[in-house]
Amino acid sequence: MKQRKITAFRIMCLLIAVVVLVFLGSGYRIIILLLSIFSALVFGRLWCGYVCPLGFYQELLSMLRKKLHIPTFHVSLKVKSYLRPLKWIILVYFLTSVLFFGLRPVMYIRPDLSFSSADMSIYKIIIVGIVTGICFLKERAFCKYCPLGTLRGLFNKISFGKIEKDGTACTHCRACLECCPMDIRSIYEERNKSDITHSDCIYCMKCIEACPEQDVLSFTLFGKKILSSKRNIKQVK
Amino acid sequence: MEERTLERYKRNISRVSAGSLKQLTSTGNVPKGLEYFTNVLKRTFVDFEKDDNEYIGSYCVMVPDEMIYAFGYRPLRLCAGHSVAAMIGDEIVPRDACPVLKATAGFHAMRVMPIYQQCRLAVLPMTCDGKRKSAALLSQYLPVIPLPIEMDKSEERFAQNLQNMHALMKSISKETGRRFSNRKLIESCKSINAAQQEAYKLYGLLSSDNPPVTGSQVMAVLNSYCYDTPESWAQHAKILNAGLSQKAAAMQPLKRKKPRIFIAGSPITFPNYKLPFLMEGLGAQIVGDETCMAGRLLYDPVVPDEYSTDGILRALTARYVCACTCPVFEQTDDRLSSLTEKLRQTKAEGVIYHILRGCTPYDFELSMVEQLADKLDIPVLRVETDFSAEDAEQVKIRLEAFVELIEQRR
Repeated sequence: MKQRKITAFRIMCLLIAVVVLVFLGSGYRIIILLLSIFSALVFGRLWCGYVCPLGFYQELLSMLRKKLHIPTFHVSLKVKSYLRPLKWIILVYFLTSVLFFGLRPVMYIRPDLSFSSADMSIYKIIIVGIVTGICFLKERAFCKYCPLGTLRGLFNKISFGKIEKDGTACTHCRACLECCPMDIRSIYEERNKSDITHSDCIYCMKCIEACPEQDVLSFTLFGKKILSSKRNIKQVK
Repeated sequence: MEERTLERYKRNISRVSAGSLKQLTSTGNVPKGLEYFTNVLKRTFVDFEKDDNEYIGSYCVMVPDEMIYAFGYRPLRLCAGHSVAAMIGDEIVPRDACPVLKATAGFHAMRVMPIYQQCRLAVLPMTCDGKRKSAALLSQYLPVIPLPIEMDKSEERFAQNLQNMHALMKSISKETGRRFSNRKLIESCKSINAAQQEAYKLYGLLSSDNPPVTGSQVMAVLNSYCYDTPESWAQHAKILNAGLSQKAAAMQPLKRKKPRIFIAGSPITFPNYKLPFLMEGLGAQIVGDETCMAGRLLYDPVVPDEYSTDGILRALTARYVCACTCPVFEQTDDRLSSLTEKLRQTKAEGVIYHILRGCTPYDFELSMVEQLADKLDIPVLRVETDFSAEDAEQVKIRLEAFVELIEQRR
């Protein structure tokens, strides 16, 4: 089986980020906000995969689900096409509430923020429960509609981190799509373009880990190849 | 069938198989560790050894072995390549059907091979027309579960294929009365993966600049996987690979390089190694193939994201159907691009396009492969033949000219 070194590293990053945010979050809010904006401009949604505490919470849920061998649910193509505009609706709703009403609606849906705030009403607990349930059954379900993520995703195209693919060497084994938490189909289907960075991509590198073909998928940062896929030929324990 | 006739057929099957095995090991360079694999084939095809395993027969590379292990059975690839069996099968399936079907039907009808008798049932994917129609024919001999395969690789069809795999699981369970075990499924995924890793190394050694092993030997090693457990196969393949790597390191570079030939097209199954033997007899080196009984048999790994039954079945469908480059699929770009990649990796100088008489899907794609090879500036030779040795001389003359052509082009 594949070794998941990159994922282990990423989980470490998320853990450290959570610890840092919990202890320093309140004191250095401005710095964190600036860092977040800066990282979005330069690396797109990299923040979602390596820093976001809600992302970490969802990863923990998925890890638990995988340990228990509970299958994830797959949404059919038809339903997916209906759900597609949802993330934009949520984004517009989020922006109008923040800019015009001074509200922070995300507070109520995000389990991590709800837990950290003092007042826990029944209404809040129910919503947090529903979101947790969905995220438990579907990997990174919240991230697919997260307004902050959608905003960051706009910068994915101009980000300096790129996921690249060598289409001719791809055998279409679908390993990349099967493990993609964001269900990005173009990574599997694309054969002609080399830059396949999608606006939903959170740079979790799971596809690169899963890809069994030498150098078919790779991650480049500032034009330099950092990670690339390879056939793992280590003996299984 | 009369006892005496049957005895004669039995003798002939043994003789032909033993002949192929002898030719595999008669060349000057027999790698250390090859004996185990030839013994596996010998046990099955020459000695007709009986064992107490229960098998589930499968055809094509689209039936996941993992699933069969999960039921506690052993998979047995029934696709046969035996000329004697094909002769008998001639009376059962139509004349124009491909010899693989003839041989398979022949083996079932003859009832000489104990492993065919030990099959509890057979799973038959609905791939080419021949396979589709032979489901009914073979159901005279043993229970057959047809496995529908969608011929389109789109996203919608993937969901359908996944459903078919789930249904196959239920059908096997119903037919055998055994329960499916998730634990066994995970175990078999891991052991098959280990075998694939060794196979991958073997492919790598064969396509190296100066291969320490011949193409026919590699084909036989891979073919023996169908009659062995993955654990034991992987263990011995590891020894073989270690020996070959040592040998490769010690080998002197050849003064005059052998013409590097890639075999594309219809499957080449033991003991029908006529084509590779002829090529190697003419001084060529087979550097790889894309046939479903050798080059593709253990190539793509199963990469499950999660180990629930549904998660593994998804990965199995992805590996066994999506990554399959069988020409029965509507989309041809998968096959062509993987062929391009393999030709590049193996640095092949010529392509032998092997067509079993009656195997139309492969024949249909010939023109596309020719166009592709034209772009890559690699000559292609189409060889249409079957399992019999009668046309060996005619084929040899054509191959001889082809090898000469490659040497001239250098």
